[in-house]
Amino acid sequence: MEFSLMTLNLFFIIFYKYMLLHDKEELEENYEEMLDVISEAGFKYVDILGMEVDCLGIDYVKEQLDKHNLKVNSYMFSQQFAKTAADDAANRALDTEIINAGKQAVENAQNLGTKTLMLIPQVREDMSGMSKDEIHANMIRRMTPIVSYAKEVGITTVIEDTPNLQLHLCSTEDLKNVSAKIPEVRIVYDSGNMVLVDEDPVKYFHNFENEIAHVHLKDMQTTTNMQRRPDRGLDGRFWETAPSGAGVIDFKSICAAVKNSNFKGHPTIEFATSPEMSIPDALVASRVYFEKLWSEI
Amino acid sequence: MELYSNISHVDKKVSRIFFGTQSNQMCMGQDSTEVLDSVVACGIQTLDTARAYTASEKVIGDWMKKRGNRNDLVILSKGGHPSAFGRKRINDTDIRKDLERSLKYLQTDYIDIYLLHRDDPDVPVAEICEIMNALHNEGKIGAFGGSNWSVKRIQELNDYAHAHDLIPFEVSSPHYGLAEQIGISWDNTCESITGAGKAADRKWYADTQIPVIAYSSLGRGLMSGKFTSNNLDDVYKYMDEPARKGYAYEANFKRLARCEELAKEKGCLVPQIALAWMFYQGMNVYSIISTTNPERMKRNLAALDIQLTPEECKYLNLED
Repeated sequence: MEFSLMTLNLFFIIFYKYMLLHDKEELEENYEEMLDVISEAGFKYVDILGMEVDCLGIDYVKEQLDKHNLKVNSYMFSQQFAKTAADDAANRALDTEIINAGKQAVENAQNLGTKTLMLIPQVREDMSGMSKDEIHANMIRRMTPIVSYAKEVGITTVIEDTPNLQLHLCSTEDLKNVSAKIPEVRIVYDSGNMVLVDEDPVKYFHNFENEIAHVHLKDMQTTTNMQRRPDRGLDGRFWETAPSGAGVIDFKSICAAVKNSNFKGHPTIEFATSPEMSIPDALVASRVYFEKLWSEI
Repeated sequence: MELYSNISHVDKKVSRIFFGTQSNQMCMGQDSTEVLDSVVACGIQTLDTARAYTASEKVIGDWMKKRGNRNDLVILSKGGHPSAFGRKRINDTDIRKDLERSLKYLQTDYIDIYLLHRDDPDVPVAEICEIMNALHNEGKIGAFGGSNWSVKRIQELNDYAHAHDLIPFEVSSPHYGLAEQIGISWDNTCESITGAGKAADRKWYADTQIPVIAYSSLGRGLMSGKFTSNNLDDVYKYMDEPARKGYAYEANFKRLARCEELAKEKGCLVPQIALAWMFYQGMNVYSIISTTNPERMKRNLAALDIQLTPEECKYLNLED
């Protein structure tokens, strides 16, 4: 099995500096090095962020991926799908803006050569005043035309059990509610998010088994370090991505479930490192960990 | 001790206390006019920054432009830090790239003191010495040296410089202070000259009188006076994870208790005693101190006036 790597946690390291200094030349140097490190760690596939394309331009990203012999496993597009604007007119304008950006994301995915587009609802402001129904309605209304547009050009759109609980999209019940109302949308199974609502990762996989079109392998650990912007679970504990195999997720059972299912794509590793290991070493360790598990099933 | 001293190839007086700009505020690029103005107003005109401190250089550059005071200040910056992904960058291309970016963000055409932020022992000292001399000859840097460099490598580089009629490393910036760095704070590429195992290094610095620009002089908050030895639960409140890993040990808590005792006797503050101790060790020490509170910085300066006897110095460092 060739596993893919989600670039998110690596790109954020260099994006942070770019946000402060807006030095594109430095960002390009760092991006090239990031891809060097990924490639040298033995990955052939990556799941990339819309943000990478927004900052660097699609032609540059494509050129760099080609140069590093990396193929795009999925394109991850974030937007404020759940937001309610100030009034009806502003809401309609926001709908149009998000749907148009979503269609552009479909074209970007096509251009990058992937058949999978992931839609990620962003939370930029406190949503505690919004009801679950309102949040779900906003997401469904905005995602539906994007999914339909993607379907026309042969791209599968996926959504996940988002870990920000303000979105009410993490439990099996909530994710089924939303996905059932968006024709043709499929599920990206994330092995870690549902622990925030105290659901079992293996049962969760089987709950969506026939709808899963993409897989994220993410380990989880509790944390007290707020600087890492952890996600807060229903019971008040804070959780963050753990180095693969170091957290609480039972990957042996999950990999067995995935391997025995109809999913035939490249599972995506969500990467985290520890202070004891350099990033290049930790990337190799993650890949080797899953390859070994997979081969033993 | 006098507030100002001289460092070769720096054409201004250098204050014994450097203002460290690796604060969240400055690294995040927030306007720091108030604190920078206050620091300079109390006589500290030497600022410590680095290419690796994200937006710190830009904040300093914007402030210097606003105040028109570049030529009144001594700027120390650092480059050649390994990349975010761990690639070593001690080579001509990367050092020059870092220096050019530092000059751009600082909005200046020279840096008074330029340090290599880390060493790469795989690179011959001759090559590094030639690069730094070339940058000096181009007028882009004044004095230069290493941060987190071992004494052995500095000595090797300086031997090469002397044999080839070149400028040697004239400053060094290791970790040093009363609080011994017992655990690893950051990573194993950092160099501390604290503890019994580094006595030979300290003797070398005392013999050569090469300026030691000490970082984390107050044990990253341990000796800041923010918490006391009888309330160690506050360690978690005032010390971040690297600080706790490096300094939160019994021996250092004992040193802190002795600082408190002596501070009470002399009618001064714990950080003043801890800083004063450094200046009595026979080395040519400068100290990098960071604070967001200008009043605290003013109080730190009083450390230069505190008298300690050899017995008191030994007592503070548990050598009695």
